[in-house]
Amino acid sequence: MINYIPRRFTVVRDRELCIDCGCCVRQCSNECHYFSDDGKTALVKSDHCVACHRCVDLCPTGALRIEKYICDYRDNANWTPAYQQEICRQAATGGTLLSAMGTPKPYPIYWDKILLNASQVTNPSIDPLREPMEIRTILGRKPEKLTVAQKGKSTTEMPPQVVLETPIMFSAMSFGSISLNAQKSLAMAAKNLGTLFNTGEGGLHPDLKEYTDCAVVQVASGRFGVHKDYLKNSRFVEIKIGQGAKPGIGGHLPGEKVNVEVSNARMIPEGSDAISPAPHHDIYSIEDLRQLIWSIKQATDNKKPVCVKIAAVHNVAAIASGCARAGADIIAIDGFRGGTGAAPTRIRDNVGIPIELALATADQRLRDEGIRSSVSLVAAGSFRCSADIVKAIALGADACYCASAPLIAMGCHMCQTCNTGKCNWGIATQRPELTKRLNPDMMHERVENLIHAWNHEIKEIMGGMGINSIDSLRGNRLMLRGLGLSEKELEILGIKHAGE
Amino acid sequence: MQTDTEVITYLFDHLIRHHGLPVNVAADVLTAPEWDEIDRMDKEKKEYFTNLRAIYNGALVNGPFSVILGSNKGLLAINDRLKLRSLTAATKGDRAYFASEESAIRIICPEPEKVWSVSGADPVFVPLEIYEKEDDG
Repeated sequence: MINYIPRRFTVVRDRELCIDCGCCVRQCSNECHYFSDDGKTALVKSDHCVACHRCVDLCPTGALRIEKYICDYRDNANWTPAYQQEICRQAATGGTLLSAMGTPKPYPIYWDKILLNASQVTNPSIDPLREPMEIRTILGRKPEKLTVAQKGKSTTEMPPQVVLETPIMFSAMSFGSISLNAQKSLAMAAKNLGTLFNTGEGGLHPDLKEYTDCAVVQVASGRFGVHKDYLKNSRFVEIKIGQGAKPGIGGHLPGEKVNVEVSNARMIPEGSDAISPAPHHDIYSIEDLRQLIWSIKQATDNKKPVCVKIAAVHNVAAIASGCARAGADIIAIDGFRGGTGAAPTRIRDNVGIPIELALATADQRLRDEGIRSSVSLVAAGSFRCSADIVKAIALGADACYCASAPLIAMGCHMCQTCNTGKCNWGIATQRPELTKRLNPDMMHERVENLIHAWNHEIKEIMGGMGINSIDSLRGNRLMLRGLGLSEKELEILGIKHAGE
Repeated sequence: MQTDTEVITYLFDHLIRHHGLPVNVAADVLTAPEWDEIDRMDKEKKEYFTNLRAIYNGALVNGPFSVILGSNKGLLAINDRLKLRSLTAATKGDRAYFASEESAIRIICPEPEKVWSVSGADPVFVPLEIYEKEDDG
């Protein structure tokens, strides 16, 4: 059997440091480490190494490292090794290529071309150690105006609102795509941080019942587990129309990850792929979406906001406007860099638009049409640091959904093989020997640490800008300047160029 | 709009004329108290300020300011939430005085009855009507 493709990585063991303890042998689910026949020497077989670094991080003597396996092809700017190898894989299997996590392609990242303002002299910056910095965020439809009997006495009927203590929420990751322990860590962290996590399409596992007040539940095209109690056990309901990583198609959970528990939660046979249909088969027009939104509101006694999650595609501004008019209280826009447990490679890498542009145009369109206050906008699609979040809020987001970042906090090393279900960190897998490695009692702390740190950084940046409430940052495009962006890009983002 | 004065005037005009809010409520919009203060308020006030901040989040004014707004309704004095600018109020009989500093007030009115420093998120509104409504801030 000819393997037409060289392996990706080489595991390098420093024999001077290695003590043959066998930790790596026990840890690697890709069978890259094994003992010699006499059981005394640890050896390496790098064929299936995915560079997840589990062995590297756990080796007590630091004897291991991972190297890219350089097997040179002739230089070819067009027929890169990647394209050639993908053809070989398809020639072998006849199948569509499947990938995990957000697209790694070198498309422009607008966050890295936008700079932030700071105050000096005329408008003093604020010291976050002296003054309270407010980042509390309230999501939900707002009425046009306040009605009062008198000062101090409001007579306004407010639609249902969700109060978050941070503008950061955890984005949808289904039980199935990630392990229960990973989801539990997110749920615990969300509760302690005063924010929400999203159950994704997989439903809310009974073990997470105590976290329903922190849960966003999804009504996706597969309608997995959607019944009245499912909707009631949530803080708000999200209708998933699309996802940034794979616009236009439905969710995909490979059969490898459908064990008994996942099978019960989703009501599908064990081991079978859980593929959600592309459209919701009862939503073929905006009026149908309106009907679904109102049905969900009725089923939840109008006590919860309803969110519509859409992928960032070409006409996202018009789509957002339509969703707002169809009754959505919150609109989540997921950019093309968004992560995924599994998606067809070509769709992940070629379909959709960046969240920076989508957010700017959607926010502007809603303002132009005078309906911006009728919805809250949540942006998603790769936030790597607190500065990205500040920029998103300045472009108009009310809140930001993060998923890859908290996973990295829990041990993910972006090896991008979630779809195989062999995650050595116990995150993107259902194998009990792997999931037990992730202890929610420890991992939730790491996630909380991350968000606490980002909250502090956001407050510092806001203080530097001379504002002490995130309300004054929201949609404040004057706080942003572009660097090295074309006229058109600046126009779409609605920001000036640095120096202007 | 080129200046801060224009922006603040526009905000008041918009809130009072288009949204029909009383002057002192419009003042609350611009100088809303902080969330930890709101969390400690009684139910009715808490609901009022929470709704106000949720609906008018974009009209919150940052940066130091000391503003006196006059209209046919009365005189309003507001200070930025962090009290970065000075603003003093005084009353004597049925007259009210506003100035940056007490010394300025004392030149006009040497012996005011009450003198106080206007609080950051606590607007002072003195209505022009003959029948004065109790302004319990």
